[in-house]
Amino acid sequence: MAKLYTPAMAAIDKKKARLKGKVQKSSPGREAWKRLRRNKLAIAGLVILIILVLIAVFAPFIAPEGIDNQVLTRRLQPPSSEHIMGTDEFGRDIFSRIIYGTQISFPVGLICTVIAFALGGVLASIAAFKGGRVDNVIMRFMDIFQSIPPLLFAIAIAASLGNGIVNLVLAISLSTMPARSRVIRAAILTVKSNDYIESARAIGASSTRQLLKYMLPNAMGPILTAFTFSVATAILTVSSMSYIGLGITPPTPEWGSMLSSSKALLRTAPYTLYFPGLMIMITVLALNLFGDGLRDALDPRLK
Amino acid sequence: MKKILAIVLAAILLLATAACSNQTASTPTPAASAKPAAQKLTVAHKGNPTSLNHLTVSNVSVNGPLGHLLYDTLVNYDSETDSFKPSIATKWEQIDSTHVKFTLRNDVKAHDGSPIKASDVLYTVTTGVNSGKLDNYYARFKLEDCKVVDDYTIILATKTPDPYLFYTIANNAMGIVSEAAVKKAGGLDSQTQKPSSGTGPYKFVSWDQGAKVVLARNENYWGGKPFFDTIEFRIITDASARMINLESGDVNIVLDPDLNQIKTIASNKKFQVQNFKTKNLNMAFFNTTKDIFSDVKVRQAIALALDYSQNAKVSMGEYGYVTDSVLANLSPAYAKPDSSYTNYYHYDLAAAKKLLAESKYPNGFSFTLKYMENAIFTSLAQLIQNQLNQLNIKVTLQPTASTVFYNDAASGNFDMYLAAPSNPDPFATLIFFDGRLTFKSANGGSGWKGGDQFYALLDKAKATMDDKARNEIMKQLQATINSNVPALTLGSQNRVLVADANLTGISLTPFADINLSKASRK
Amino acid sequence: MLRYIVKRLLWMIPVVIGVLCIVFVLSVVTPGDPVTTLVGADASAEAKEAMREKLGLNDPVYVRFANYVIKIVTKGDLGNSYTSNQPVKTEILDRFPVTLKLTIASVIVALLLSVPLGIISAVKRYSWIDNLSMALSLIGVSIPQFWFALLTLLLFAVNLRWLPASGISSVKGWVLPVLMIGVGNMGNFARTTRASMLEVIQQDYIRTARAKGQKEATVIIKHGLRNALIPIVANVGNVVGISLGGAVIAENIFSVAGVGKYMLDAINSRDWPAVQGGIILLAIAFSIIMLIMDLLYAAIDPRLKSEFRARGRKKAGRKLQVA
Repeated sequence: MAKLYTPAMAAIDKKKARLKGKVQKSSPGREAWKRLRRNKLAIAGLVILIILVLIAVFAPFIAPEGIDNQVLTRRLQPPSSEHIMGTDEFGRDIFSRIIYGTQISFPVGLICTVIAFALGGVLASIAAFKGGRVDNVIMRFMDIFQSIPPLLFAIAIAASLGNGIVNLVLAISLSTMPARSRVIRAAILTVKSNDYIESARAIGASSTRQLLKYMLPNAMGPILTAFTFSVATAILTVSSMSYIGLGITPPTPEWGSMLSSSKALLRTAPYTLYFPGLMIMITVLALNLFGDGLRDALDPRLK
Repeated sequence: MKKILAIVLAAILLLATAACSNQTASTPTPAASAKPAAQKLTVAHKGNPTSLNHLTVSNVSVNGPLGHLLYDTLVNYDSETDSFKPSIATKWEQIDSTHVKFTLRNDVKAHDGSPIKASDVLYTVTTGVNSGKLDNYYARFKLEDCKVVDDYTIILATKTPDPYLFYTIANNAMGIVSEAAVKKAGGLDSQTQKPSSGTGPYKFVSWDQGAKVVLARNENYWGGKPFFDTIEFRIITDASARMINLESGDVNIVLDPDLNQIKTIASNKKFQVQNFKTKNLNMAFFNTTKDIFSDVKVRQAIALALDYSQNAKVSMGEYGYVTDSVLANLSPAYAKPDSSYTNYYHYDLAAAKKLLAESKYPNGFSFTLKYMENAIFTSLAQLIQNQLNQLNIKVTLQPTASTVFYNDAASGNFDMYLAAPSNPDPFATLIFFDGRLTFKSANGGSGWKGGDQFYALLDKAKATMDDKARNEIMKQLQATINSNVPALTLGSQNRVLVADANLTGISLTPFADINLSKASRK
Repeated sequence: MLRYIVKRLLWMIPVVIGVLCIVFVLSVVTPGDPVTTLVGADASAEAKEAMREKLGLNDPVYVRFANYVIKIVTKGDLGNSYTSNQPVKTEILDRFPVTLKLTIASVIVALLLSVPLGIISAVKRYSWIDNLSMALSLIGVSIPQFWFALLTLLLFAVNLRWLPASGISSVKGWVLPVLMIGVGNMGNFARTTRASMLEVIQQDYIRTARAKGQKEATVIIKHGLRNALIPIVANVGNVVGISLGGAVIAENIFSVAGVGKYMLDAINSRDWPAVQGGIILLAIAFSIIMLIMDLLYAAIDPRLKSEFRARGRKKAGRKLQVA
């Protein structure tokens, strides 16, 4: 993966813009969006994501059946015109479950990431802003958390708390939080050294004001990029954990847990294996495409 | 645009391989040529043993198949006829309802050469009773009355009359251990890793933790030369992987195969499927101390709302049978339900709805179903959840880790739980319906109070040594339980294994473990 | 240099104690009774109580924690596993080499396969090979590892029968697990290499080298690669950490008797001494690997001053933590 994190271009743009005296017309966001729009891959990713969201919203209208419509007389039927993805071991229509799965995997991944960034963000802001000993202490704590491989850590937390969607979200958020807080801290630190923060400080803006008004918005670029990639990682982690049975409980059609029951059917009904995995891959792929585009747009030197 | 094309292409490539793999599935390539030598047996086993000596840990199913190769029991179980054959004991005699006298062979030696005498049997029983980890098997013995008569004669005494004692005596948990060998090796703990105190047909060679256990023929075996030079247990936790290893010729037997996958192999002449019916029973226990399930009509309605034959088929495939009583059909005390009472273990949705309408909860309710995750329970739980929707009963599934599960069951902290009692002794199942016991003392159950008359019958059955008279009482007990539905019966699961077609002599232990001690090749 | 190493090694002490705290807290908040595993579900209440007393589970939490730490510090004793009643330390050390080998093999294979691909992509930018390799890398980072494992298992072990489905007793057995753990890393490495190579190629010193009339291959390898490798080396430590996690799943799918499988089994049976032991060991191993990587990083990039090393690692580390 190329550099996610380089000096925030946004800040430089803003400075340039200020020098030229046309702050309104070419805000850094607008510039970035222009660049993003030209990136076909990123737009493809965005379109896929929008389609997935639409599917999630309109799932009841798209899916021919409910998520737990067991018809035991039509178990394990291969894909046909009637059931385009076949039926599972309870005679449920896999297509319907895949469709409803969009309501689970993506939002859960998103929530995990939001929590991780929120928690990490608070800690990182304190660390970056206070600097010195506070920074040191917080970051050493993060070091400790980070010395446990993240997936293993998430598994241990989930095992301790028990199954269920809430516990899963907690486990993933907590285990990824340290890494996320580092991203945010670094982004803020980069911005912190810029001139206009110095000037804000000089004119006596309060600490909170400095942080909220100047630093966070300007550090947003790399954070946003990192956020996109983190959602992708979280979706993969959610599915991995459901696959090993520490995630979401049945009959919720989470794609990873759909795979965990189809593992046993590897030989008799391999089609139960294809589609849930494919959906995870497509979602993550779309996020990565969009993230790549976002990164390039925010840091055009790389292109 | 080029890039998008490339991604799409790559994705198609990926799918094509998957799809192509699907096609090749129908034309299996010949198995790997590396056929194991004729005298070696490789077993695909589901987990790393916790110990190679049954007296040091509580009994778990991963240890069973190994235990029967390393240790002999006093008597052997014949799963075909459900009867007992001589082993270390050549003959036995029921002195009275609580005492049995065993006469032992005089040529049995432990793997380290120590001879087995009556004192070793007493040592085994004493250790088992004192360990506290094996109460299920040893708590029945009354140590102070067990006595060594001479070197090759011993009397074992039980606390109460015990009509089904021999199921336990023939089980792995009561494998005979040589006291001298244990002392020589430096104590019982040494036997956990490097057992030398057993007398079984195969002895320990090596144990590669988590990977494999290797056993070799016991050349001095008292019961004739065992067939295989070596038996290797390969630990392959994934059920699919166990099956794939059989097809590739890497292993000869798959224990605990995934039931869904057996079909693919059944048509292949190179392999055989051995399908043993068992006395194991999948059950769902209501917590009748909870308000919702204290109403017998609610319980009966739930019982009638389940599609038993479909559920058995979905959860166990061809490898189980539908049951209609709280004792499995193969249980020695099973009584077929007849018209003398109303049985609820059949599917009748209309009747279920009617009963629920008459109950305290006519509009439905919700409850939590706890179970330990395994393929059968996971599918049974989902089936129950789905079918009870028809009564507007919402079920939350809660797969639970074993430590939590047993604790919850033993403290009554559940609405309903799934369990599969595997003890062939019918009284070990009936203990869950003995309302005089607490959840804690029965380690679970339904908290159902059967009443004094029921308890009196239960005690009478336990004290009756005559099979026919006892079975008559057992029939009445089952009638009372079945009509009150403190638990659901969800089918009996067969013990299945898949193996090379030329393997023979595989049998079941009384607790439905696989016994390979007499296995050989045709 | 030596001072730096000593400092880093000393820093591992608070890390281990911190990890101990974390895992201990997890074990305390876990519901259920570990004694059940040890004496069996059917054991009598007295037997359970006796075992609880013997294990010290009736003591207050802080006493238990103190005892646990004291035992580790004074005797290196991680306690006995609840399921097998064997010392956790020996059980884990028996299995650790397998996991380490698997992880390192997968990282090396991923590097060997993907770095050249990344270089070619960068040099032949926008060619079909660039597009294809970048598309494959993108799929590599997007595919769920376990799904990839199941697909390759289906193809190579079930249908084609080229590779064994489980175990690593033969060389062939290593292929699928190594690929599975490495698939994400390969995509990652290829993308990183390409990006940093592109950046390096545009630098002045490359232009200078070209202007001096050096061969293109020399320019790329001698001047470009060395500098392009820096971000990758900086990331290898983190990648090893992520791969250790990946090994947990790989060992389970392919039935490899390593620490990952041991730990997942332990987690499933809530065998906390085993879980604690495993995590502590992995944390130590991870810290040591990070140290080695930092030293390597310093060796490759002589511009970095020793005081800057720690920060440089973390900065670079961020990238893959996110990925």
